Amino acid sequence: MDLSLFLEGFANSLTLTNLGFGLLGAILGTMVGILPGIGPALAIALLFPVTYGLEPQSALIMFCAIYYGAMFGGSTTSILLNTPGESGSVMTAIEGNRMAKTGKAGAALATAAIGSFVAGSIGTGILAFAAPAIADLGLRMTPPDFFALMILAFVTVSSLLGKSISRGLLSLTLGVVIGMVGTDPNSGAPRLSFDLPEAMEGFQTVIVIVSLFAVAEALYIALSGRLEAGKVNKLIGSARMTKAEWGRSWKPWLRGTAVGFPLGVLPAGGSEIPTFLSYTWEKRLSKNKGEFGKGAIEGVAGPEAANNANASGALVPLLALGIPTSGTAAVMLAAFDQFRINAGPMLFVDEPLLVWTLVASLFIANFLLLIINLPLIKMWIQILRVPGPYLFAGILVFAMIGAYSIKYSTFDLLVAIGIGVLGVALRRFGYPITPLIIGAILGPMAEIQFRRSMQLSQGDTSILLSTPFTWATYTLMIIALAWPWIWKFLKPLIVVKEKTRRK
Amino acid sequence: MTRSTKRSAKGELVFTSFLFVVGVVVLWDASQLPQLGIADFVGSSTFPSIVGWVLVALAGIQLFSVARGNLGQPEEVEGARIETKVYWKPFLLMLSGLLIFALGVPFIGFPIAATILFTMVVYALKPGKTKLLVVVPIAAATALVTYFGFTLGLQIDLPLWLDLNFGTTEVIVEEDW
Repeated sequence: MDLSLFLEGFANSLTLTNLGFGLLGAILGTMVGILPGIGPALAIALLFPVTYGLEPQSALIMFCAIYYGAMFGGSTTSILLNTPGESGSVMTAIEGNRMAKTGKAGAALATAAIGSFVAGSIGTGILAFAAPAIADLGLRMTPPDFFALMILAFVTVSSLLGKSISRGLLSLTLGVVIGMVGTDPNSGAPRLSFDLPEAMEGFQTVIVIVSLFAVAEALYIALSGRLEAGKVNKLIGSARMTKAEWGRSWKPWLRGTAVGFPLGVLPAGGSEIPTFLSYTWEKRLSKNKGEFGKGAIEGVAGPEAANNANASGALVPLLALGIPTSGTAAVMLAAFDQFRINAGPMLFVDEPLLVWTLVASLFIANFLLLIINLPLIKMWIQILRVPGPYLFAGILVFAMIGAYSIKYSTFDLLVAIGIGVLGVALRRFGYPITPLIIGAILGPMAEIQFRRSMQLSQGDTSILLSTPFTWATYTLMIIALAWPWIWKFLKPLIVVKEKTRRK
Repeated sequence: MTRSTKRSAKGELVFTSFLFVVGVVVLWDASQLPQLGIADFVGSSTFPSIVGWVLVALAGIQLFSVARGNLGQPEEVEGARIETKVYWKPFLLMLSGLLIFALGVPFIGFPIAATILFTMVVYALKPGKTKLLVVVPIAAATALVTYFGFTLGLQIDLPLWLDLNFGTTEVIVEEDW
C-alpha cells in the first residue's frame, strides 16, 4: 500500500461533498437494512438514475456506504423482529432474538453494532493492504486465468447459495443468456434480439436488477404471500453493554472477523457459510454453553462480525480483479461500469485517487454508521411502522422510474415487467436469484476473456488450462461443485462433536 | 400429494420446459450468427452455443428430476408469509398496474401513471382493507413529490401531462452527464 496515496485519498474523502454522500449512504443503507423487501443490491440499483449527474466518486462512496450500512441495519431487524431478511443475519437472529425477549435487546444491539464496526474496520484495513497486492497479481494474469476465475465465481455462487445446486446452475445459465441479448461483441451481428431494434442494444443491467428484486418480489408476494407486520420486541433503555458483556464480546468479534473476511475474498457465495461457522465456533468455545439457544451474547457478536468482515472481503476481488462474489458486489460492478470506470487490476493504476478515496470513505462510513446506529436506534425502529403495501408501492414507482429514465423507452419497461414475471417463477420454484444476476453481469465479461484466450491460442482450447493458476482455480471449482455433499458430511460432524462435548 | 402440490408440480414442469425451450432458442439463434469474424478464431456462435447446450442439458436433467417429485421450495420473503396457495387476482391486479404504467406513461404522463400504479400495488398487497379515499391521495402525493424531485432536483425528464400527439415522435435532447 502506498501511504502517500492513501493519505491523499483520506484527505479527499474528508471534503464536505464526499462526507455528505458517505453520510447519506450510511443513512440509506441502515434504512434498507431495516426495511423489509429492499436490500442493498436493489437500493443501489434504484439509485442509479439519481446518480447520473453526480461525480463518479461521490456516487461510489454513497454506494459503498449503503453496502456497509445494510449490514448494520440488517442486524437490528433480526434482533428486534426475528425476521432475518438476508441469509447473513439468520445466525444473529437465533441468539439475538432470545436476548431481546429476555429484556437484553440493548446489549444485543450494542454488541452487533460495535462488532460490525470492529469487523468492518479491520476488514477495510486488510482490504487496503490486500487489494493492491491482488491487483498487482491481476496485472500479470492472462485471459485464460481471468476466464477460469469467472467460471469459479459462477460455480461457487450457484452451488453454495440456495438449496439445490441444479437450480442454482440453471439460474446462472439463464442469467448468462440474458447477458447475451444484444449484439455479438466481435461481429456486431444481432444476437437473441429477434429483429427488435431496442433489443439489439442489450438489456440494461439496472433493469435486470430492479425487475428481479423489486418487481418480482412484489408480484411474488401478491401471488402467494401475505404481508405481515412482525411483532417488534421491546427495547428497554438504550443500546449499551455492561463490562461483563464487553468482556464476552471482544473475542467473538475478532474470531468472527477472522472467519468472515477470507470467505468474502474467496468466491464462497455470500455470508451464509461464514456466519454459520462463526456461530458454531463460538458455541464450542463458550464457557456458557448452556446459554446458547437462550440468548448468548457470543452468538450475536461472532456472526455479526463475520457478516461485516465478509462484506469488506467481497470488495477485494471486486476492486482488484473486477470480479463480484455477491449480488450486491455485482451491482457495484455495474455502478462502476455506468461511470465507465473499469473495476479490476487497472483501477489501481488508472484511478489511484478514486480507489483510495473510496477505501478511506469506507473507514469513515463505518464510523458514521456506529454513531448513527447506536444512539439513534429508537428512531430507526420507527421506520418499521411504514405499512408494507405502501412501502412496496413506493419501491415499484421508483423501480419503474429507474427503468424508464435510462432511455425513455416503453420497451425497457416491458422488459422490466417480463423479467419481473420470470423472477416470480424463479422464486416460486426455489431458484436462487443471485446466480442469475452474477450470470447476467459477469457473463459478457467471461465471453470477452474467452474470446481473448481463443485469439491468443488461435483457436486452441487447451489454452484454457495453460497456467498453474487455471489448474488451481478449476480444482477449487470442483470442490465447490461437490460442496453440498462435503457440507452434508461436515455439518453433522460439527454438530455431533458439539453435542458430545456438551455431555 | 395434495391438490395444491400437484398443481405446483405441474407449474414447475411447465417452467422447466420453458427453460429447456429457451436453451433450444439460444442454440437456434447461435446457428444464425455469422461463422467467422475478423481475427476471430472460434466464430461468433461458439460461446452462445456452449451456453445453449449447457442450458438444454441442465434443464433436461431438471425436467426428469422434477417429474420424479423433486420439487423446489418456494423462496421465503422478509416481512411476508409465503403460502402454497396461489392468488391470481392480486397478482393480475398488480401486473396490470405495471402494464398500465409501462404503456401509458408517454401518453398520460408520469404523475397519473404513477398514481394508478401505486394505488393498484397497494390494493394487490392489502386486499379488502383499503379505502380508495385514503390510498389515492397518498399515491398522488408520492407521484407528485417524485415527479418534481426527479425533474427539478435531478434534471431527469419525465412526461408530465397528457400527450395526445400520438403521431409525432418524441425528440429527447440528451444532456451531458
